[in-house]
Amino acid sequence: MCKRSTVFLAALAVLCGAVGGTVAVTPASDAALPETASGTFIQRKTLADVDVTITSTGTFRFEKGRLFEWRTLKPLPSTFTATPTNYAITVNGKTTTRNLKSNVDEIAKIFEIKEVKEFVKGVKSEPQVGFPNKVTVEFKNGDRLDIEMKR
Amino acid sequence: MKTARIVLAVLIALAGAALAWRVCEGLRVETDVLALVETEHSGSLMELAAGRARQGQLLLEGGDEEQLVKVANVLSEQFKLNTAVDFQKTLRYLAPRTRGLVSAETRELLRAGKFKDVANASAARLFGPVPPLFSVKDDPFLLAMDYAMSMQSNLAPGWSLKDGYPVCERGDRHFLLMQCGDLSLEKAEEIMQGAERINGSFAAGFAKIWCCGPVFHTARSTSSAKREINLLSVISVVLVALLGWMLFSSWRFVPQLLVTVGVAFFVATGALFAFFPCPHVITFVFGVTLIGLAVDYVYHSRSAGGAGKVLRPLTQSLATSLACFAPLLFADISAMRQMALFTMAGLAGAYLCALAWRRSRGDRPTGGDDITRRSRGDRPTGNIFAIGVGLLVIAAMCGICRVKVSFEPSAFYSPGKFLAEGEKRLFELNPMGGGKFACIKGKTLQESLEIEEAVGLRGLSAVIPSLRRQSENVVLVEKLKESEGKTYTELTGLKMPQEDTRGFLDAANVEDESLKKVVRSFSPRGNEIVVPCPEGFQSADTRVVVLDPRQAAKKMFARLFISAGKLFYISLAALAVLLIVFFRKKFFDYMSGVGGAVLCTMGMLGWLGIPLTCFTLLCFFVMAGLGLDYVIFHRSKPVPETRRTVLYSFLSSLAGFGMLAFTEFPVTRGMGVTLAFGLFFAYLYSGDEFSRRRRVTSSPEAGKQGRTNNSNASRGE
Repeated sequence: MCKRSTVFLAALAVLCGAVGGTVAVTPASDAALPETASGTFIQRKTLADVDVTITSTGTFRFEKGRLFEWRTLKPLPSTFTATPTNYAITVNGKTTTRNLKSNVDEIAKIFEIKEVKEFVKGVKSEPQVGFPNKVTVEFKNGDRLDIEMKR
Repeated sequence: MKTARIVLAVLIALAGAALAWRVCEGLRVETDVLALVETEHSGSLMELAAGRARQGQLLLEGGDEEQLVKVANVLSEQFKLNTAVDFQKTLRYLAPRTRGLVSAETRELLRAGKFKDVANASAARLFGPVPPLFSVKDDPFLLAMDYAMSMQSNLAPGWSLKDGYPVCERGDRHFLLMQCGDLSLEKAEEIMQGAERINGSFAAGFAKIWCCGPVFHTARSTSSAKREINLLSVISVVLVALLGWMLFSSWRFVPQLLVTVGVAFFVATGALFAFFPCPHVITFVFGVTLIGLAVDYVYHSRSAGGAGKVLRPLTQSLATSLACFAPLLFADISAMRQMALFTMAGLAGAYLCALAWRRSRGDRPTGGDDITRRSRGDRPTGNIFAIGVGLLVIAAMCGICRVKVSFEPSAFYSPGKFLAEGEKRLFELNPMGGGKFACIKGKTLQESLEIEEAVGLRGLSAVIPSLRRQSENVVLVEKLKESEGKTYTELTGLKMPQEDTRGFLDAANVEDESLKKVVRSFSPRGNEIVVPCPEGFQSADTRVVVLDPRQAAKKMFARLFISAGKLFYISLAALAVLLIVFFRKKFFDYMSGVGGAVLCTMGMLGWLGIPLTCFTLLCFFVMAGLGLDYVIFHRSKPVPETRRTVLYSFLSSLAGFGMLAFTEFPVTRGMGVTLAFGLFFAYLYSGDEFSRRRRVTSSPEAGKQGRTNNSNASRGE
C-alpha cells in the first residue's frame, strides 16, 4: 500500500525506485493516484564525479497500469517508455528495447531492479501526497536528480 | 574334493590379491549410464552429464508475480538457497572491470561504423530519467551501463530480472526460476518433499512449485530405490530362507548357502577388478543372478547328500551356464564383457565351493511323497494339468506378435508425474535452449570463449565476452570517441577520458558469486563451455561438438541391444553344441525347454506391453542358464527328491528375481518380470511332464521306466 501510494508521484521518483530510499515518503491513499497524468518537466541530473549538471526538458505521460513515457525534447529528442513488460529508448526513430520488468501501476517499481533502488540515498517530493510538482532524488555516490513537473 | 578345495583356495587367493591391488590404487566403480557403451562423443556426453548431475532449478508458477517472489524468498530462507542474483553486488564488482564491455547491439553498431547512432543513444540515456549505474568519468557514453542492463536479456532471451530472480510470463501465467546450483541428493530430496508439501497447502492457482534438473531425478530415484531395496530384499531373504527350511526341514543349509554365495561374489569381484580397473555398477546389479545359480548348486548337493553324488549334473550345469555366458566375453561392449567375466568367475567359485563343502548328513529333502502324488497323481489329473500347461504355453506364445523393441530413454527411465510436469513446463519456457548442446573444447576458458564467439553461439560469451573481444571493443570505443567525442562533449558537457583506469572482466577469474554461478553453469568442468544450441546448428570447427543426449542414449541402447541379441544367438548355438556332446540324441529335449521358455517369456512381455530392451534381453542369458539347470537336474535322476529340490530352487530364484518386478524403476521392473516369467516357463519345460508324455507316446518302455522310477521314489527307494 505504501509503495502504491508513492507512486508517485509522478514519474520520477519512479525512475529511481525511490520508494526504496531511506528518506520516508509520506504514504498517500490509492485514491490520490491519478488514472492518467501528463505535463511538462525540467530535469537536472548532477553527476558528482565529473561535477557536471545536465539539464533536459520535455513532456511526460502516465497511464496507470499501462504506460510511463518520458519524452525529452531538448537538448536531444528522445523517448523513454516503460510498460509492464519492457522499457525502451527511442532516438532518431531507432528504438532499443530492454525486457525489464516494470509496473507502471506502481511508479516506484518502474525501476524494479531493487539494486538500483539501493543506490538511492533518499527522495524528497512536494507535495508528499498526490501527484508531486517537485522531486529530488539523492544518490549514494553523490549524484542528484531534480525534477520539476507541471501538469 | 581335495582338488576342488585346492583350486578354490587358489581362486580365493587370486581374487584377494586382485582386490588388494585395486584397493591400493583406490577402488573405482563407474556409475554413469552413458559409460555403458562407447559411442560417438560419449566422452563429451559423460562430461556434460557429470557437469549437470547436481544442478537443479525450482520453477514457480502462479497468477501473481509478487506472490511468486514472496514464495521464492520463503523457499530461499527455508532451504538456505542462495538463488537470487545480488545485482548490486555484481555491479560493484563489475565497476572497475567494464573497460571492454559493450552490449551486443552497440557492438554491432560500432562494427558497422554507425558511431552517430551509438552517440545519440548514449546521450538519450544520459538525458533520460535513468541514473547512471557506473561512473561517467571513464564511461561518458554509458556503454557499460547499457551492457549491464542487457545482461539478463542476453543470458536468457525472453526472461527478465525481478528482485534478483529471472521471471517471464506466458498468457496469464507468471513464472519465476530459482537456479539452485549444485545440490546434494539429500538436500534435493528435502526440497522436493518441501515443495510437494507446500503445493498441497496452497490454494489452487495461487502458486505451484516445480522441481527441475537432473539432481531431483537422481534424488527421487535413489530414495525410491533405497526404500524398495530395503523392503524387497527383506521379503526375498525371508522367502528364500523359508523355502530352504521347507525343503530341508532344518536351518543347516544356511551356512553353506551363505558361504557359497559369499565365495562366488568374492571370486567374481576379484576377477572383475583384475581385468577391469573401473567396472560399471550395472555389472554388480546383473551379478545378483549369481545368487540363483549358487542356490541351485547348494540345494542339489545337499539334497543328494554331498556334491560328489551329483557331480555329473552339477558339472554339466556349470558347463552349460559357462557356455551360455562365454560369448559375452567377446562382446565389443565393455559392460557385457564385465558381466560375462563376473558371472563366469562367480559360477566357478560357487561350483568349487559346493564341491569343497564337507559332506552333509541328515539334510535330505522331505515331503517327496506328497510332491509325487500332487504332480503326477492319477492319470485324469495329469491330463488336465498337461492340457492346462499346453494352453498356457500357446496363449503365452501368441503374445510374441505384440512384442515391441524399444531404445527410447523413456523405456529405461520415466520420472514421476510431479517431476515430469516440471520438466515439461521448463522445456516449454525454454530459458536456455532446446535439447541439443554444443560442447566447445578450448585449451583454456578464454580460447573456448573465442571459439563460441567465432561460431556465433550465444552462451557464456553473451554475458562475459572473451578478453580478445573486450580488447576489440576498446578499439571500437576509441573510434567512437574519435568520431563523436567532440560533439558529444559539446552536447552533454562530459569530457572524453584521456586515460581509462578500468580493467577487463576475465571469465576465468571472476570472484563475484552471481557471475561465478553463470560461469559454472556454462563451464562446469574447467576449460570447456557447454552451450544450448539451436536446431540445425553446425560448425566446421572440430573443437565444437554438437551433442544430442536423447539421440545418443537411443544409439547407445540400440547398440547394446543389437550386440546382446547377436551374442544370445551365439550362446544358444554354443549351448546346442555342448548339449549334443553331453546328451547326444536327447539334446533336443534339453534345448527345446530353453527355446520354449524364451518364446513364452517374450510372448508374456508382449501381452504385458513391456518392451524388449537391452536389459531385458540380458535376462534371457540368465534364464537359459538357470532353465538348463532345472532340466539337467530333473533328468539326471527323475525322483521326487530331485523334483522337489528343483522346485524349491526355482521358487528361491523366483523369490529373489521376481521381487524386482515390484520396483518403480522401469529397467529393474522389466528385468524382474522377464526373469519371473522366464524362470517360470523354464521350470515348466524342465519338468519331465512333457518329455515323459513324449516318451510315453513314442516309447512305451521309456514310459514304463519313468513310472517305475516314480513308484520307486514313492516308496523311498
